[in-house]
Amino acid sequence: MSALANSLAEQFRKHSNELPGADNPRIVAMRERAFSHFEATPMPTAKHENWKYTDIRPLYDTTYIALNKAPGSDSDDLHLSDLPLPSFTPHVAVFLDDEFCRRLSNVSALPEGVELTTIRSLLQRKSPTIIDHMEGFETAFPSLNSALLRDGIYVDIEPGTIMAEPIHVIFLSRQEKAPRLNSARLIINGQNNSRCVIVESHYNVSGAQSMTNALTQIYAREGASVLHHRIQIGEPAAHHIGNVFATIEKDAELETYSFAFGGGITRIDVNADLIGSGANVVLNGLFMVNDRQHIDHHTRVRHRVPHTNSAENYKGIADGDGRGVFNGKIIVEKDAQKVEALQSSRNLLLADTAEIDTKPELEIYADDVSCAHGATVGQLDEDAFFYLRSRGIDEQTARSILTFAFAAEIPGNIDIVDLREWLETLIIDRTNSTGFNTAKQDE
Amino acid sequence: MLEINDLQVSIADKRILKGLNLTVKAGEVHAIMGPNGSGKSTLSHVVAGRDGYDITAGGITFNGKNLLELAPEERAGEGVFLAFQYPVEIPGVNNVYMLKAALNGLRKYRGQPELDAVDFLKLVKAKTKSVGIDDGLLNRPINTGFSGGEKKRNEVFQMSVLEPRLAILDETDSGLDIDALKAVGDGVNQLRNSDRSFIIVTHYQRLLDYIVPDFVHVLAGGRIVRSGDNSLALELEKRGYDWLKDEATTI
Repeated sequence: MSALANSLAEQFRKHSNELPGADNPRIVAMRERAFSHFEATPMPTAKHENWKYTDIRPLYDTTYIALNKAPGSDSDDLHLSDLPLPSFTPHVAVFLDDEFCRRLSNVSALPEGVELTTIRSLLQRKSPTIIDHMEGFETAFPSLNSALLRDGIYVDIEPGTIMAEPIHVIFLSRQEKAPRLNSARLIINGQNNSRCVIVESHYNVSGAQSMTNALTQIYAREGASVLHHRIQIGEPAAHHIGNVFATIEKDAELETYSFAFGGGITRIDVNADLIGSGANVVLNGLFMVNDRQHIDHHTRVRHRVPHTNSAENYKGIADGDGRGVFNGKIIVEKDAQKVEALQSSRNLLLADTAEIDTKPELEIYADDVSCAHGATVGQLDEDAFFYLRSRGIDEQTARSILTFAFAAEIPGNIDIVDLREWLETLIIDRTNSTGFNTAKQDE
Repeated sequence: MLEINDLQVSIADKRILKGLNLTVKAGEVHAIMGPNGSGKSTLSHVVAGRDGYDITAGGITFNGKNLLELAPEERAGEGVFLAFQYPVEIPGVNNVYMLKAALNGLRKYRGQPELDAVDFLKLVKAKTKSVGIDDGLLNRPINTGFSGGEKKRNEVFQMSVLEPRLAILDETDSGLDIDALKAVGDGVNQLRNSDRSFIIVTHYQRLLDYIVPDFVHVLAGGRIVRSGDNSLALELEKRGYDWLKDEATTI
C-alpha cells in the first residue's frame, strides 16, 4: 500500500468517530464503505489509460494530515479583499481548510427559494438527502472525499426559482506546516425550472505542500438551468484533485467553465450525464501551465437518451516546463439517436520544453448522431508575431498580446462583468509573468 | 536616409536578391516594379526585419544605423513601416488596442513619454477622419473579417497614426478595386512630406497613377536592372517585363 493510503487508513481508524454524523450508523457505514472503496482502488499509474499522462505518485508517496487537524486556521487578520480573488456578488460562502468560515461568509441575504446549508449540519441532522449523495463513485478520490468529509455546501434552488445574482463558494487552503489534505464538497441542486449561477473557487494561499480533493455534484432537474464556473489557482506545492459530476435532466441545461491556473499536480475530471430528452450541456475550459506545473483535464459527456446536445470548448497554454493534458470522451449510448455532440480542444505551446497532450475519445453506439471534434496543438502564429513587432511592439509584449488573444475567447462569454474582467486580468498577468513568454521562439 | 548596398539574400539556399543597390533620400517616393518572383517582397521583408532570410552579403543602413542588427520593433522605432501585402488577421486583439501598444512602443524606444488613453483616442479620431476609414473597424479584432480593401485601408490608417519616416508599401494595390485603390492613394498622398520617404513595391503601374513616384526601378532576377522616372512605369505598362528579363541575365 502507498504511504498515502497507509497513513489515511490509520487516521481513519483513529479519528473517523470525530467526524460529523458519527453517531448515526448509516453515516458511519457509508464512510466505511467509501473508505474501503478508496483503499481497494489501486493507485493509478501510467498504464491506466485515464492516467497515461499524469504521474500521480508524488501524491501517493506523501503522508497528509487529513483528520484530527489542528483547530481551524481562521484568524481575524485574514480578509477576502486581501486575497487575489474575484469579487462580484454579495452571496459568498467561504471555507478555510475545509471548515466553514462564518466570519468571511455572507449567506444571510439569499432570495426566497434559495437555500445554502452546510454539509456538516446535514450530516449532523442525519439528512437522508445528503447520504444519497455520498456513494456510488467509480474512482478513488470521490469516495475518499465522502469518507473524510467534514463540511461543504449544499445549494438548493427550489422549483421555479430564478436566482439572478451568483453565489460564490470559496475554498481556501492556508495551512502552514505539515502537509494537509483538504476535502472540499459542493452540491448544487437546481430543481425543476429553476435558474442559478454558481462560482466555485479553489485558492491555495500558503506555500506549504498540500492536497485538495474537491468534489462537485450538480443536478439540473427538469427544465432547470445551471451556470457553473470553477476556478483553481494554487501555489506550486499545492496538488489539486477535482471531480465534477453533473446530471442533466429533461429540457435542462448546464453550462460549466473550468479555469485552471496551476499549482502542483492538478487533475480535474468533469463528467456530464444527459439523462432526459432535450438536455443540453456546454463545457468550457482554459488552463495555463508554466514552470513545472501540470494540469490534466478529463471530460466525459454521456448521452444516455435521444435528443440531447453537448458542446465542448477547451483551450490550453503551456510554457516553461509546464505540461497540460486534455482528454475528452463523448459516449453516445445505443438508443440515444438525434444527438449532437461537438468538441474542440485547442492548445498553444510557448516553449520547446513544454508539452500538451490532447486526445478526443468517441464511443458512439447510436447511428443517427452528429458528432464533430477537433484537437490542435500549435505555436504562436509567426505572421501575427512579426506583424505586431513590425508595428513597434516589443517581442515580449507581442507574445503576451497573442497569448492573451488566444486565451480570452474562453472567459469572453461570461456575463458577470466583474468576474470576466478579473479573469482577463489574471490571464494578462500570467502572460506577462516570468517564465510565460520568455522562451525564445526563433526556430 | 536608406542605403542598400550590394544586398544578397537567400532563402533556404536559394538566392533571391543578388546584389541590390538602392538609395532613398528624405521625401522621395521610389517605386520598385518587377515581375512575380523577382524578389520584391523579399526586399520589403528584409528591410522590415522578418526572420527566415539569410543575408549573405551587403548591408542596409538607415540614417546611418545598421538596420540588419536591429529587431523588427527597433526598426519600427527608427521609423520603418511596412504595409503588408497580406495584412494578418489576429482574432482576439482589438485594432485600437494594438495601435496604442504600437505607438507607445515607438515612443518608448524614442525616449518620449507614453500617450494616455485620452490623448491617444483624440489622435485616433483625427486620423480616422483624414484617412476616411470606417471607425466601426477600429474596435474590431485586427483585420478579422475585413474585406481586402478594408485591410489595405487599415494599413494606411496605421501608417498615419504611427507616422513613419520610411513607409514600404508591399503590393498594396493587389486585390483592390478602383475605389479602394483611389482611397489608398489619397491616404498615402496626404502623408507625403519632405521628411517622409516611400518605397512602393508593385507589379502593376496602376497604383502609380494615384501615387506618382519620383523614381521607378525595375527589379528582375534579384537585381535592379533599370531605373528611371515615372515614364519608365508607363513604358512597363505598355511593354511588360520580358524585354528587361534578358538584361537581368546578361548583367
